[in-house]
Amino acid sequence: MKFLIRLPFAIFLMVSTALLVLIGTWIEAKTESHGQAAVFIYSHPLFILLLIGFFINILGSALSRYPYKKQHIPFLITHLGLLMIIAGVMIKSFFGVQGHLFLIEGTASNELVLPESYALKIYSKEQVEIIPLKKSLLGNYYFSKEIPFQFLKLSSHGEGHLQAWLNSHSVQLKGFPKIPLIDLPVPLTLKSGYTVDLFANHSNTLEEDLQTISKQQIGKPFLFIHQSPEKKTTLLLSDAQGITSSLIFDAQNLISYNAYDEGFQGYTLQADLPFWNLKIEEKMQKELQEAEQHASLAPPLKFISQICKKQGEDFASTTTLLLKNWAREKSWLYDQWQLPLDWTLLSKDETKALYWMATLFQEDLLPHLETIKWPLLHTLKELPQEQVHLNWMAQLYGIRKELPEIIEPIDPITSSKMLSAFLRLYQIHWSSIPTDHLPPESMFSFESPLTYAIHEANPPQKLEKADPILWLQKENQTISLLYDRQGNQLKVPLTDGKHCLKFQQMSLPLPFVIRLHRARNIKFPGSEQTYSYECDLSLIESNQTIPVELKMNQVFETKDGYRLYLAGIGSLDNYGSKSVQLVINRDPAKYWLTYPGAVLVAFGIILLFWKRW
Amino acid sequence: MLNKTLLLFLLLLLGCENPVQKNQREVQIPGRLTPLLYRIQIPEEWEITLNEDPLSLQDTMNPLCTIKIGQEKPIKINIHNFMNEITPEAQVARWKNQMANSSFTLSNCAGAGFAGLKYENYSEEEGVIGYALRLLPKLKNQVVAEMGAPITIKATGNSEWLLENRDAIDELYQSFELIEPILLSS
Repeated sequence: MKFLIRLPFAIFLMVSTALLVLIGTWIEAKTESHGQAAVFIYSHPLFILLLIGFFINILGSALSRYPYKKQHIPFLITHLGLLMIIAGVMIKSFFGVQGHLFLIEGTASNELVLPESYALKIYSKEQVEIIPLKKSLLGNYYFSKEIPFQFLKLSSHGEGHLQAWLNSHSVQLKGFPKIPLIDLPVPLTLKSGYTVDLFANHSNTLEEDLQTISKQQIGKPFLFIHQSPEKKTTLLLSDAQGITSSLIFDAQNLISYNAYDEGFQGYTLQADLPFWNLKIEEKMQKELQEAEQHASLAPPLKFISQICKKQGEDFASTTTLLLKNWAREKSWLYDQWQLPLDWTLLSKDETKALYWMATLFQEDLLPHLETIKWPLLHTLKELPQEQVHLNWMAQLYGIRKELPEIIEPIDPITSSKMLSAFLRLYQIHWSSIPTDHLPPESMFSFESPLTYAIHEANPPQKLEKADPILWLQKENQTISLLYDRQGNQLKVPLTDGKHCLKFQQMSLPLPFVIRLHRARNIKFPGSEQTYSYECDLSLIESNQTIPVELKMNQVFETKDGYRLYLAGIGSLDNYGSKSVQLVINRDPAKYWLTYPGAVLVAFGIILLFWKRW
Repeated sequence: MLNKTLLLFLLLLLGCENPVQKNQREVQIPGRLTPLLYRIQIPEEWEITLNEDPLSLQDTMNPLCTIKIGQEKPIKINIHNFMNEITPEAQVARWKNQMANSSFTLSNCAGAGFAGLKYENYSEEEGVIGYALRLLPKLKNQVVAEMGAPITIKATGNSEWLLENRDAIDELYQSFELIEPILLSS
């Protein structure tokens, strides 16, 4: 035991400490991480043992000189000072406080966030419980009180992101079971009874994927979910005509999400996609039914109505089908209509006009009219391209009485073309139906659970940037929680629907509330270079408010020993709103141990050298 | 030698100037629904009239308070809040329409949790210095009802006088804040 108070032990301690500090400095320089140096050296049990060794050695060495003589005074003063400094350091490391506080102008807080600390936050509807996760001297993690979960492990680093719609294996849509990607495409029956084919893909070639699917799905509606490598998800809904609507979601920059029961029942992303043509079809049928019953129909529709009555067909659905199929062909006149048409229902001249429209018409109209020497060609040439067809038809209709007689029996193709020409003449076409004022029920609403995708990863060299994953288990459910360094992630709901969890930094309540009024970034006159950072604070404690102006490199100390430093000022928006990061610490032993100890050491050394008893 | 040193030291001390302490007073302003909502610092000599009539306060056309600077060509500063969401840009567009002079200065301004635009127009007859503000969107869900209401602080009066009092009006704006702080918690 005597060895502990002898000089060789003191030399051993000093050499060991010097060596460890040397290694610590090297680690810190190599990794640019104080965290690494702290883990391997400064917070290591060996280093703490050295500190205890120093204390024992100094105390023992001082006591060993008993009974003391006058010449021992400088020696005793120096040793007492050293003991006070070591005790002060120990008390600071166990009972001191160091943390930061983030404030936006106009806000106040008393929550001091402790860096590199871990805590499990358990939310229930009644309360929020914060349970610190601590590390023993041997390096094991444990919760400071009992938790209703089994602690599995703490992975040193993890990565994660919010995910919805699509994960690596399946499509996730609320109201549907998980759909494996390998099963795609699958028909998806939506609530309103419509069926769309579901496609999904992870790639960086959205356009190409879409082209491939569009070719495959001609005339068939589909929903395509695409995720880019940057985790941006595109939802694209296409109807049978190829009319598409789409939405893009960036899970890293969410604009809105749904929280069910404040998050206890989970979160979802919602996409409201209009699906025009199915609703146009419904709308059109309804309007045609009403028009047939209550209003006078346009001549071509009246003609179809009469035909339908003769054939025993439903006017509204027949007309809608005709228009829809015609739109799908994307031709000016339609030649696929099979229903027999009785042209005697129209006047002879009208039928003649429609017949010649159908017979003379060609898609590339102007060159054709030039070949047949159309007498009114010059008037058509002046028109914009999209008006040529209609105006030519109007010209033909205007001279219907002068037109030659129909020279042969009308075949079904010409008959179909005549009907479409008739409709064109009255500008009745699928594309002419306005879609901009459809009622809101024409939206299809898709929802997808919003969850975190977390996986273990290699820790970064700078340990301060490591985000550990906390693994817990409850019954058969394994829960993984990524460290929420900023405290701004969503709560993770448990399957019971009654609890949510978060794994984040510890926070301590300060005995006062700090309010930030304004922060200033003062620049050199005529320059954009910052001269100083300043902020106006109020420290509010019970009924007392203390105004504080805190500047860069200036410290404010409260009467109970909390020291406030202005660590940084940030900009929040283009208007110039500012946020402030304060560093706050408290060393409870500073004034009665550390500082007096340092004075005693200095005084003792002076006495040792200058005073000879 | 000692005397010279003392004299030099005294001269050095004379060179130190204490900042001029202005006589400011804090005024607490009632809201339309809240008994006391905002506070400002104004010079002692400025006259302030608080609108404490509940009926009058129901109409957002009526200000929460009116401050008068000077007697001869007084400057009038009105503080309004609005119960519906109005952007600073929309407020400024309204002010532009009220002014005959089409030349103006527009700048961003922010502080105490509010952010928006500062509009200055100095025409020959009358000038305007107006601040159109609204609470930062990220603080909006942290406050109840009227605390999140958009605000305008508008000074009108003789342009020359306005320019003379420009800094003082800016100090008033700088001191404007909610009485109750917005509490942040993780």
